[in-house]
Amino acid sequence: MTRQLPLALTLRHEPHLEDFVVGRNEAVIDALHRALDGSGERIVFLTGPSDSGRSHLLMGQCSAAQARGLQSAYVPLAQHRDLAPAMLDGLEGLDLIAIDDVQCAAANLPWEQALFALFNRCLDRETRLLFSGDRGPAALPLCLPDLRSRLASGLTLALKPLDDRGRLALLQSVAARHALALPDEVARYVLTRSSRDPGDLIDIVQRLDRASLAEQRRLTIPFVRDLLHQG
Amino acid sequence: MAPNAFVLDWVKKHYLEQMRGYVIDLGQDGALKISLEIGSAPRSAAAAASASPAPGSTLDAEKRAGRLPSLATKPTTNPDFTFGSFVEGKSNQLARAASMQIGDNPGRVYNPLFIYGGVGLGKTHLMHAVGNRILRSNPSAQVLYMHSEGFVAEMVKALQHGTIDNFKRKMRSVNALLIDDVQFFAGKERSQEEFFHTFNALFESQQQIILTSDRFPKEVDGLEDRLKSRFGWGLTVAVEPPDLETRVAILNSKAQQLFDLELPNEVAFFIGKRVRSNVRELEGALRRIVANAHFTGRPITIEFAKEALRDMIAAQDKLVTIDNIQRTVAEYYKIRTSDLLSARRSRTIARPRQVAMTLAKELTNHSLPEIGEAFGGRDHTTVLYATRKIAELRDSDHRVKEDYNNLLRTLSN
Repeated sequence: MTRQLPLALTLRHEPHLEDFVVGRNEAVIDALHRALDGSGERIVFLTGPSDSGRSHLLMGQCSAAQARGLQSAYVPLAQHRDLAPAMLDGLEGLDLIAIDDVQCAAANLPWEQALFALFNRCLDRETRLLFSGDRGPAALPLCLPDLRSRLASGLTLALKPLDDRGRLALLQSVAARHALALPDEVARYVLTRSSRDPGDLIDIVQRLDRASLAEQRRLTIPFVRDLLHQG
Repeated sequence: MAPNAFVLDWVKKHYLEQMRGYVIDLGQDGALKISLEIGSAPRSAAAAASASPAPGSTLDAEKRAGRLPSLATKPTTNPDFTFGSFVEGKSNQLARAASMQIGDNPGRVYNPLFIYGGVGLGKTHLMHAVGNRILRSNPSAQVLYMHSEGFVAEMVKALQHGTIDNFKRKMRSVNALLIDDVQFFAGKERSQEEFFHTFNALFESQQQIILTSDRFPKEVDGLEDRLKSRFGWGLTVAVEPPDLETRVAILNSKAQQLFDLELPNEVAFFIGKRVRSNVRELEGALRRIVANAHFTGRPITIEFAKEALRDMIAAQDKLVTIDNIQRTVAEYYKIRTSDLLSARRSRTIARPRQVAMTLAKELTNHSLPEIGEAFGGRDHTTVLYATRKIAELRDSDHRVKEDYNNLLRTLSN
């Protein structure tokens, strides 16, 4: 069979809360829904290691806000070098501000001051604030104790890592997004023979997708075994 | 529409060319134009055409200017922060009493009132409570609450827009000016200059000024001396970290106010013992427990609270060990850790050792014999004596009290 060249296109996926693999994080999803409908906490801080889905949840929350006609902004502090603290000016007028990777602003005084000032401006408004960090406010190496205590005043929730059932669900969910049929036994095979890190699992499905398209083959255990052996 | 100049520039830089390309592709012969400006789309339109979650979005027209609402129409104090909702304890009773007197008699008793203390201990609450009390007895009073950053931002905006005279007039025409966290004026000379004149004008006309800071006026770095000295003209009061009983009372009060919930006493004591740093963190812990209880439908018990706060407690336990306390105390007093463990009994060593033993008793679950053992094999009665001595000195010696609170704060964070 001739090998088909896949187009150099990747599926751009806008994260939604609905396609987050919840695992043992039902309480987090509940808190996010309740924050949006006004029955829950207005200030939420999500903690978890990278690849725990923090960014997905923050962007998903922004999408959910938009679907309700609310105005939101997603601020990825991992890119703070390309941004400027002044970008936070005026955001308090929105309904939701989602600030991702707060640890990237820690020990950076201008960013900490801008976050602190934004927080204060939001206090007497209805603005919902959703933060994420690789650790909780108490453990962040912040220069401003004032910022730390404010971040700690809201609802802090730790994302629990996916168990194996959750990882299988993640593989299936990403495959489905690529319209890729990933039989259960093949998904289990992948899970027992590769990195169990959620980010790596997503990469593997993307590799499988490209290979399946190029080779025009269904995902079977022999095909996947060869592919994983190629590294 | 962009919410601020940064986002406007960012969109121009990253997307304008692409947008022009799309417009050309649409082939409308110049009928479509791209216009980028700072402002907001009307809310209804925004719902249909809201931007993707990118840095920035549109703003509500009323809100975008970020300016303070007209004093005449909208109070700037938070109505939830009253003396009724403020939990009094030994740590804040003087500040509360002074604030109440000012609320009843603004501009006459203590002017300015300067409240200082660590973060999250209720300084802002007291300030708002004074403002609300003034407004209660005189609804037409002009009470202006501002964070110092807000003062700076508004002044800069006024300078840019050529409206500095309006800004000055507004600041100098109030009956009570409440400025939070004045330490953030540090290094901002133009703002300090303007605030100095505002202060003088209000002081001379006997209008009330209330200021808060994280430290004693003379110790705020980066502030002009003339401001520091004026800040000390009236009454300066400290707000200390709350003791266990006050923390429990605060938790019960917050549970009632925020969630209409009767918190079991043993749970309140459990949280109060584990979260010692400040009121905001107490509130955060309470929120976490209540959210978990709401979601799982389980009753709030000590076991449940332990589970909900597990990672918070684990992080704290990791930090607060006797070793860590000894290192932190030695560093604070600029002595060696080995001095704390030695037999030396000079005051410069014995006092820090007593402070460290007291902190070890307060912050860890070690028994007194274990603590004594960790301090060079001392008897548990020595630890007991140390804790009693420090408790006594904290009441009588300002410096010991300050040192102890600083160390407690460092170790609790």
